[in-house]
Amino acid sequence: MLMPKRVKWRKQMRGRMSGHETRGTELDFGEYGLQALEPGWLTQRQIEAARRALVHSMKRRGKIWLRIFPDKPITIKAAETRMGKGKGAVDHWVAVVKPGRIIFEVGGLPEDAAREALRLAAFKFGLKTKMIAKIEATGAKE
Amino acid sequence: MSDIELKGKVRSAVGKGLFALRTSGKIPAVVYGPGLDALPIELEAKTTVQTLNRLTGSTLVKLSVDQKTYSVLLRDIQRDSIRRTILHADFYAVPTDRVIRVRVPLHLAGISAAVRDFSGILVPVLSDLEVECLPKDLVSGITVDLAPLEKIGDSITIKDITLPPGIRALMDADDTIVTVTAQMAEEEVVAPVAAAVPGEVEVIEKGKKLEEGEEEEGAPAPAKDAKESKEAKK
Repeated sequence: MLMPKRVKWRKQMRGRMSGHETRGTELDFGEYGLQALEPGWLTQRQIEAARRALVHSMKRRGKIWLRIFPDKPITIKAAETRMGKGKGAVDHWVAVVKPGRIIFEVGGLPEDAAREALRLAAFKFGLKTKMIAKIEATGAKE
Repeated sequence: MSDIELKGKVRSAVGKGLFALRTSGKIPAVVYGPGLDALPIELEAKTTVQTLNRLTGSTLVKLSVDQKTYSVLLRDIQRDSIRRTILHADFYAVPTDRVIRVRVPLHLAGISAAVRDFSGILVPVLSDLEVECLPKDLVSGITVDLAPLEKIGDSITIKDITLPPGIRALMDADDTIVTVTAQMAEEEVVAPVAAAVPGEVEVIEKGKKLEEGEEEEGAPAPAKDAKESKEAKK
């Protein structure tokens, strides 16, 4: 499962998820994408489950781009432990997602197949998402 | 010039006034170019959204603003990241006598034998091509024929396509536009490992920590000496 190889600090504070995403909100690689509409934490297990659902549904066609990475450690105190005595041990890793973030991008397959694959992948996340398609790129230069 | 026409009006609302402008069904935009000061304009959202959505960055548009007509290219569109509605558009007034650089979209056409007969996967690498030309030679898109892709591993590069007259590609001639790869292997289903082992993550050592560590190493030494002296007393 996805997790960082090296980190600067072993444990983090929870943080806040106010506002919407300002980066990673446009399709940069594929033709279709899954966009988050709510803020939340996506765990490494959820991301892996969604990726497998995509791979299974795409039946060896097309290509997948994962646009998030679980780099936030979540700690949990051991069961039947009294409060205090410091922060618990790292249990799993999550990716912080805010509204507007593109989670997955897919390309190289027909729209109906992409739509179905992303629909199945979206069930693995506990937040509202929508599918978006690429609109003509612009890029005139001097 | 293409037949696409847009009509706008000079805009006085700027900054925070744009919120009211957008709610009244207008799209704020700007026109700029060589020898032309940036001119804030507003477009009617109802009539222009569909046109703006299908415009490419290399389609010349006739933009009329209060009796003046500009030949413009759509340079940038800002969209609401969630609703995907257009927030603002940038138009570049092209100089008619000067060579301009534009990114022209590439359209893939035809059927590749490698995809049809060998179930290969078509991987588009480039979606647009940076070119240099006079505005009169500009095209809204370049069509790439996929017929030369006959077997898996074949690719089409920039030097393989014929560009319309008057247009010169600015990118490396060996850059790949599209290629055909074999289907990815079936993913083996591995039994899930009992949770990730977070302890394996390496923590970057800090200078401060090292100093602390040195102190700690130095600290037990006197204790050991004390122990030895106790034993000697005995």
